[in-house]
Amino acid sequence: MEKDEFYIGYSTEHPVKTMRFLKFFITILGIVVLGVAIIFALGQKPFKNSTFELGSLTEVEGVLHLTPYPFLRTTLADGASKDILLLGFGKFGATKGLQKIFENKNPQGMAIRLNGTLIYYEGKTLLQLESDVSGTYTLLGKTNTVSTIKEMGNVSLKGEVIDPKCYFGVMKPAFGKIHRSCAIRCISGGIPPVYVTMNAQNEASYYLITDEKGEPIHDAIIDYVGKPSEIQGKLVDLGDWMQIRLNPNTIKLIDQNSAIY
Amino acid sequence: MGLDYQLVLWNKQKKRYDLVLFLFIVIYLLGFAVVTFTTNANTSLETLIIRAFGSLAILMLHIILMIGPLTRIDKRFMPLLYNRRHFGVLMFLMAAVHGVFSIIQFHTLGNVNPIVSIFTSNLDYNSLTNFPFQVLGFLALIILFLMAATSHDFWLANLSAKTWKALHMAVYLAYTLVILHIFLGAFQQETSPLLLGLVGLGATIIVALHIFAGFKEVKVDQAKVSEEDGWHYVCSVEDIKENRAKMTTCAGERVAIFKYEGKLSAVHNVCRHQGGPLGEGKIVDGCITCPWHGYQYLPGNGQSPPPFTEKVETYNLKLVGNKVYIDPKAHAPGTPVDPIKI
Repeated sequence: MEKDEFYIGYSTEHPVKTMRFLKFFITILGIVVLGVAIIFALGQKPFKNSTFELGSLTEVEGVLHLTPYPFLRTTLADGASKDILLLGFGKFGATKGLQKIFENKNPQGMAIRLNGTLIYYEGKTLLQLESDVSGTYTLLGKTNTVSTIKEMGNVSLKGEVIDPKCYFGVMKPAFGKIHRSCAIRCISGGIPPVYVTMNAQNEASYYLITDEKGEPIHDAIIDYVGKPSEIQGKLVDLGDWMQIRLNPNTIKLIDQNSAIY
Repeated sequence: MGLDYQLVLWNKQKKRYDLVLFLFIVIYLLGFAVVTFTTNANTSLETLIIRAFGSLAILMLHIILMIGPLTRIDKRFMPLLYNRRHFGVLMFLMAAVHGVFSIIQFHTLGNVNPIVSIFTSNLDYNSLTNFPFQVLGFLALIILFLMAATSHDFWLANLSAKTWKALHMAVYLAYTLVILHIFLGAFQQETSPLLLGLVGLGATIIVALHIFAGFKEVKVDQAKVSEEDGWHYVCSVEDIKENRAKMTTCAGERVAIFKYEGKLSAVHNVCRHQGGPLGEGKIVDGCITCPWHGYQYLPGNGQSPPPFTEKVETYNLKLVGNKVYIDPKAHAPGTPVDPIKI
């Protein structure tokens, strides 16, 4: 007669056939566990090679410009200039940090040496200021540099509103639905909104978004962050960055998959 | 069975169980990390942690939910159920790593309290595709936390078995929230058929196993009962194996009728510990022994042997020829009823 096996966890003796069956099942389960890990890992879309130099401070020297958003115009070895977008610590813009540095003075055109954390991707560079800016800068004096801009006429673009701090290096992925909440926090905290478009060759273009007068916008654009959209506005060449001046009420959400991912 | 409470109760079997769990966790995390770094090296460490722990928690939740119906279908899975509590707590810890890292990553260092930010950053509550999926994950994590925090016999005794069981049935609500969290969140953007297929397969297996196991129980509950003078006919004596039970349903309650040492006794089917099915248990050392965690009751009075204090309802039986009849009126828990001799 077959033994009537019964398992009691706290017993020191366990039914032989049951335990043999279980060993086989657990071995299979172990293979399934590894298989699921591999499938989940392989199923991820490729990450961008954007960089956030977390924990490493870099000294950058240049001339401050405040419009449309604070940036540092630096001169490269070959004489060309590069505009480094300035950002605050965490999910904030650079305004507070610059106010602390300059108090009541006007920073526009001020030459400065700044320590911060570099963020870069596809030729765009950004610098995160420290949470406490004291001791991270040297003022080098006022310059007569003026911003030169070139109006390029009206354009219509399809793409997505992103926050540049995460997109250009801090997070991966930093677009679309997964990242929308974070991007909303960043933009509402003063980080400049950027519009990303992708052409047929998968080459991206980036535009700093402002209102029609070229003034910064944040809260007014939050409903459109991280969603495929179509915008119309006036294109302005700032040098290293393009700017799109628009009325946020004219942004149209489009019901199709985003072209940027 | 215990008279006092210890923070974590381990025995040899539980240690083996936990060791296997630990090994599986290491295998999963290493497997995920190695494959990601090999094939998709531009990942960030934060994203790797969020995704590895999140997907591991999903896998663990699926396995946990499969254990119950598997034990109903095949008793050889019973050892998996014995230490499911530790499995559940570990699964919560994996989910918590995913949740906490996500909150730090997406919601801290901003202009709003991080918890408030989860609920208010994305306000598209009226849209399915744009729905704030992080809210769903957060609510699931709260449920899993409550379950993990009360996964102890102290809470089982103090909340009452009924309340405790109801709280722990919320795992199905948590599972639904997790599935919605994935499909309305990550899968809106990570659209690989591998991922969709895998989670879809997992959910299908869970549903299928529950339906299959449920059918087996419905059969017992809906079995036609013939009645004579208020006594319900159950079966003939030969239908009950020695030291085992036959289950029947009287007045909407499941009852287990045990045959042992030439006698028959009937007790309520539900173990006072965690609601285990006593009718699927066995008489061991003269006691009805629950198949889930080995809680024991004396068949003649439904009481746990001293010094333990658990009690279940008892029932009167009668034997006509070799036909077993039961009086559907239950005695109060722990009431002695003379076993009938065969």
